[in-house]
Amino acid sequence: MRVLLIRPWDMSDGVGAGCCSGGSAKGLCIEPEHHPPRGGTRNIERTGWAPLAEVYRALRDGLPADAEVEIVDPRNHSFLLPVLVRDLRRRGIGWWSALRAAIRAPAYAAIIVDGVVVSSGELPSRDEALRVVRAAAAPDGERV
Amino acid sequence: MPAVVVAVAVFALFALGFIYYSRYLADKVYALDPERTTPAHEFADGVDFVPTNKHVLFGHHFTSIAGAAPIVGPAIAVFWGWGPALAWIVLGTIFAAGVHDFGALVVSVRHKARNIGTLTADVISKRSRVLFLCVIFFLLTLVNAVFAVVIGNLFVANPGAVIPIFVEIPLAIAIGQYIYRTRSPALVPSIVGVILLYFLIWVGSEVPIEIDGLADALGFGQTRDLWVVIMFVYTFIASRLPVWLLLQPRDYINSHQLFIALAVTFVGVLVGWDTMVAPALNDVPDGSPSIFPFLFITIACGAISGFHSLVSSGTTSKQLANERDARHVGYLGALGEGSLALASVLAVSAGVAATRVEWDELYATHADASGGATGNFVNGIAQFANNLGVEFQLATVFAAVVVVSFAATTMDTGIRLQRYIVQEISTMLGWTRLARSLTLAGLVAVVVPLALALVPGDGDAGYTFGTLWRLFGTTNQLTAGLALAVIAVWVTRNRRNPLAAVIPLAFLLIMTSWALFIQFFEFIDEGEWVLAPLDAIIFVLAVWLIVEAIGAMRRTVAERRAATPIGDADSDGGTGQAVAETEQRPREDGQ
Repeated sequence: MRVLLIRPWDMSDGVGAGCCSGGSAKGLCIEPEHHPPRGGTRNIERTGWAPLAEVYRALRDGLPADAEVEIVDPRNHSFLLPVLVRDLRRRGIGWWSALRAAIRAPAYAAIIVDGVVVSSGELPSRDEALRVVRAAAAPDGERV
Repeated sequence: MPAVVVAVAVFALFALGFIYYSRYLADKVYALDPERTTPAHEFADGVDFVPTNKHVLFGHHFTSIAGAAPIVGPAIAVFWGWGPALAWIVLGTIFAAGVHDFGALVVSVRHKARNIGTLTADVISKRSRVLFLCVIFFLLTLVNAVFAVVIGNLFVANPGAVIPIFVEIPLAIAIGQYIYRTRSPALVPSIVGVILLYFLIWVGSEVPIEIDGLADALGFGQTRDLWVVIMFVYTFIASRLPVWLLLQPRDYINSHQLFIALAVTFVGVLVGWDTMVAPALNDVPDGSPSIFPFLFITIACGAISGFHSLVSSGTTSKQLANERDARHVGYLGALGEGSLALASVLAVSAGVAATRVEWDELYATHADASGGATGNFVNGIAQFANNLGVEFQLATVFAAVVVVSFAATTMDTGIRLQRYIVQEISTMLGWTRLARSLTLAGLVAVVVPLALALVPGDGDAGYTFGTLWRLFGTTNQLTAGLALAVIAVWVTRNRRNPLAAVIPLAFLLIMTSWALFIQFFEFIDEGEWVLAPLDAIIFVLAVWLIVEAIGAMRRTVAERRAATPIGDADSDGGTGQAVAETEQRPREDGQ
């Protein structure tokens, strides 16, 4: 079973251009948490990232050991598209439908089980996340 | 020779490097152990430390390191002929960048995923942390200065690029807001963003924006200088915004542009079957900078980039699920960067023929090559796009927009990181007001490179840019040298053969010091009283690095000898495999 947890946009500080100026405070500073990825205005602080960590840990701990649980950045299309299409094709879905579903899948905080979106739009609680993933993994897996 | 043959040959060499050399590094030099627990597992918190599939991690890593710098250096270096430029790109990527990016990742993973700055203090010496911060400070200063000049030159040469680039800012914010508010997937909106951007390219080519009159009225000697000031004002404001507001959504658009530009280059070369019009080895005019050492600092990123160690040790090492994956992520990422440099060489050696100007005229002098590098790249890529049916003038604006988009992101992130560095240095010096004030630190981060971009060179665009670029190259190689020194000491400490790291380290330090030495006297002769002290400071940093690296290696070798029972040394031919791994592990953990 492959479970993909799409990293919400406000729980990431990564940007490109790392060839000659990119990266984040994590690569430079002794205490990078003192340099949040912001200006001086409204900012999403890293303490707000805790719910993602809780859901991730719940899935890692609560699912069978052979389940692959990955947090994936929504920009990582070179990984997401082929994997999602492949997972959906394994479910017997046609190429065109699989491609359309794969493009639509990586929404905000989406949880995707073997190509099928079981939750998206907001992070569920850790218990709810575990419940929907287990339900989707059951032989007659439901789509939430 | 057909450019496509050159491209295939380079890719074949990259493939051999990955198959054989990276395997040697993995097995014999870094001794990767698939059974060892990585920090991603040990400290798994779901925030920073997340064990991640190697294919996922490669996507994160490559999109993080890809940037504009591999474009500019090779486009200048073809001045010496495409043969030497490509030779350095291929050899540098396989034997220096691969070792560096891969090694920085492994050393960080073996030290609880600490970043390269902290590792310099841990592995080499405490004071090396100060050296690291100084080198990065000058590197970022030069990065921001040269990319401001790159953008200024491109806006002057391609006024059609102004509208797309400036409308891309609200466009990226709008797309970001749409994605964030609707919580929808990013792919379709970001592709729509690229399509809108390309529509704006058409608008821009119909309505070019030239500000010569305004520059004259404000007393600027060159229009380019006004663009430089505008870019720094913009980046000062942009660096105060949260990354999710502008930087990340624009990166969504840029990541598509990166793959489109690579596809246009290599498919365009295949379809157009362009030939290399540049000479393989150019007979440069007397008085030009010599290949040794200047080729090796002109092409910095694209052959080796010190900044990759910051990404490798900053974020990637915290997500590596298995040590064996470091080869796939670190080494392959370096090859991807080398491919960008290859695209640049093909553009200025083959594609540039479409300008209908003789190559010899474009590269008549080193100043011509430096001043026209990005313009030549733009024209070359435009020719490849033209091979695919895009009208040439439109294709030119397209290529300019690609370069400026990347350069603007580079400046955004560069100013932001420079602010961190100013705050870190201020904290060390006890300057609490500067350390705590985002505005003051941001002003320092902007004013220093702005001055550097405007003051020296007496207004000669080609001269100023070429000189600044060479100084950028030297500091970039110094940063890579620091990371390679850390890798070499760590490998030696673990009783493995360090030559894979020591040879590129020694080569880079020799080329860097040699170039700085020559340039210093040139600056004195030319009365460049801004650049000469800057060169001298960077030279002192280079010497400091050499002293630290030699000292650390000597201490490590002495410790090794003291710990090796007589008769056991090198019993395995120097690979160190005979040494019991268990004896090494506590030390590898940085304890």
